[in-house]
Amino acid sequence: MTWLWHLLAVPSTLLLVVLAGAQFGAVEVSSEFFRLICFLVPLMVMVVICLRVPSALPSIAIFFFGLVLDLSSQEPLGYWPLVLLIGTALAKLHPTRTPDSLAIRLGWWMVVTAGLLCCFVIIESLYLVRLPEFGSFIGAMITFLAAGWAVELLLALMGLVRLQVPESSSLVRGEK
Amino acid sequence: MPVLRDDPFARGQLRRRRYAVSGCHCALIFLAIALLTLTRLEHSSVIQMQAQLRDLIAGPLGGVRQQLSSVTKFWQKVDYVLSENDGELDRLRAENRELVQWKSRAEVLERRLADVSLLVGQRRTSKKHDRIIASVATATHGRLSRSLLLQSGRSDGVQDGFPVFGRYGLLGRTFETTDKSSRVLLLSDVNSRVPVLVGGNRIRAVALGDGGSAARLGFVSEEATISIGDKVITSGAAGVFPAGLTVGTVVSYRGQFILRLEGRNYPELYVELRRYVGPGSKLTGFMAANAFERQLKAIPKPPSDRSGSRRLGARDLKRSERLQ
Repeated sequence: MTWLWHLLAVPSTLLLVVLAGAQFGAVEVSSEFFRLICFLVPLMVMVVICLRVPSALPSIAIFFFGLVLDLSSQEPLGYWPLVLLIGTALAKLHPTRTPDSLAIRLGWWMVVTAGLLCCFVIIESLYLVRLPEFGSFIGAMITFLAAGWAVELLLALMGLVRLQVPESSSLVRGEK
Repeated sequence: MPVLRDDPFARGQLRRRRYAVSGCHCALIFLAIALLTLTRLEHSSVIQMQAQLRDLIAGPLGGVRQQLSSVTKFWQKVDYVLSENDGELDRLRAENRELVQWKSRAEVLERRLADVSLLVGQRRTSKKHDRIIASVATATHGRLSRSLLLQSGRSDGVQDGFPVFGRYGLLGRTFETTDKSSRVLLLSDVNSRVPVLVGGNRIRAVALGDGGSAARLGFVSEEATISIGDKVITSGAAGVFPAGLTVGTVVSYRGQFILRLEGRNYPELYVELRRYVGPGSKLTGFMAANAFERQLKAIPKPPSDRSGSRRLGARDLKRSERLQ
């Protein structure tokens, strides 16, 4: 049944593309903080999927989604694919040889957030050939971290931490 | 032994280490970097590809935007609450009261004008051919790009360099016009350079987009006397914009004078384009902005204007900053 999980890439990518289109159709805000939060929402969904069901979101789907974001938001081509791919790469670097505990995942959100902050600052500095203002970045990243923690805690409360997917079910069987 | 075969910890046998980030993922990261670099260098093939793809998505995005206009208004209100607009609400209320009075006055005048037109027997001479109303597909207020995507292109008579107006005033000018769509370079975009005149003394300067919601005044003479509240209008120099359009107001000084732009960030569904093609209409983008700045630096500074009344100048403000 592993092929079924790979098929999930199609609806998940479509869902994210629709989300991007709807977001740029609906959201038009002036504050940099709020704009970053709007962009980070699909990224958070991606990180959660990459941590739990990696096969459901292949890299090419993330790249395609980033290009759609670039076109719909009129950012320079390649900007959002780069940010999203680096964000998901950080998420995928999660240490699989350590026990999959809630504390480790919460810590990993911090690593992903810090990595993304550096990524944003480096890309924008190189693109604009000047240092950006850090205030809005840091504010948005703190919100991103808080939202990530909230999602993890919510899922833990709902008892969905041990999702029965091929990757996680194999871990459970191995322990037994 | 299904347990051992499925076990990712590979107990009981040696397995090659699998990297979490695949080669395909790394290759796509490099591809994204290459795309970003080519976009930055304004490579013609990338720009063309972007324009063609934009043509494809402009229609659907515009439809979504029209359907979700109520949601847009909601987000705008949330954003307004979050943003720093202390005292702005009171000022807008007062302005609104004044405008309502003007509206009633305008209605009376409009009725009189209609009567007079009937009497004279002339046809109404609206300048509809000089103006184009375009629907906005998307708007971006990012740090790297601040622009609007319009659902009107060459087929509707739009050309590069047309000034674009929103409900509050000048927003920017059109560029990268294709058959079905065009983009508007907002005045606050980092690539925007607009020659302007400041205040009653008509001091020449350039309004530089800062990638935020405002703009800065650059290339201001040290001797220039500019004060907070001075109005800023286009000078018409270089033919980027026609002369006399209101750009904004000087609101503060933080190393450079900061402008509050007249056409504010508001979720516009429609904008007005005015037909104007000047010699500087094609001056858009990073390279053009740099070339423009080089030309400006080559121009000798004008002699100081000491005839006007003594007001707070750039030098005074810098001195007061040093003292503080």
